[in-house]
Amino acid sequence: MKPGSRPQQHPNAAWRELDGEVVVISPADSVLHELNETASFIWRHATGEHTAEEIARRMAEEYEVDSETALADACALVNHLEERKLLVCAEAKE
Amino acid sequence: MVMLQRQGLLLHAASVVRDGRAYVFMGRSGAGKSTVASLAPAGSVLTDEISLLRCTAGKWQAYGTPFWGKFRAEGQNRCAPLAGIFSLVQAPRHRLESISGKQALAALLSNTLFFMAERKARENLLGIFLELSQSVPVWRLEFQKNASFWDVLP
Repeated sequence: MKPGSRPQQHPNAAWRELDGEVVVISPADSVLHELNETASFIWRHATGEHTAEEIARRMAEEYEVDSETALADACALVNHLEERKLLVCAEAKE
Repeated sequence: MVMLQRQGLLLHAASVVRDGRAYVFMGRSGAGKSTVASLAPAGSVLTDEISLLRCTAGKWQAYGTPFWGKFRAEGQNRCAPLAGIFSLVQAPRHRLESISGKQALAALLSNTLFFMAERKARENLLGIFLELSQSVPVWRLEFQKNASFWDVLP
């Protein structure tokens, strides 16, 4: 996943918010995944319209962290959610 | 799916009626559903294998179903309002533990009979879990194979 990729919620992933955090039923194995606050933030913004870099910028503002840390965290979380087939990523245009 | 439209679900769970209320013990094979049923007084077990939970007029009720496991006693064709839902874990002692809302959802999902892959149906199901777990307490129950586990139930 490149910082210019656009993460998007898997079209068959069912989700809800519970106590301000997101729970998702994975389409692959029907297991419930509980997302923490940061992962929930990424999930809400993973509409396919924003790049991981843009989401990281918003995270940096929201949580008052430096942009490098936010980008590293955002990429790690997107990779994690993509591995679990909760997110799909449209690759960055070269 | 009929059960979803009617605000209900089928759970891998034994249901036992005590003092007019249904105690629902959920778990996969080997978790202890039949054991719980076999330790209950005659005539009090709705099912030892698959319970139907339905919300009728704002109240969640447990129903027996024709599906039976090892216990094989005669099913009780009746229903009772839910006292609580207990996620079964066999252990060397009896212990009741409250669980978070998310843990309750995960436990309900892993014990639900559900074969629909569509996103909308699954979102409806999550909504039903939320409503159920907000109306009825969900616990984790560690128990030994004897009837004294009833002493730790609320």
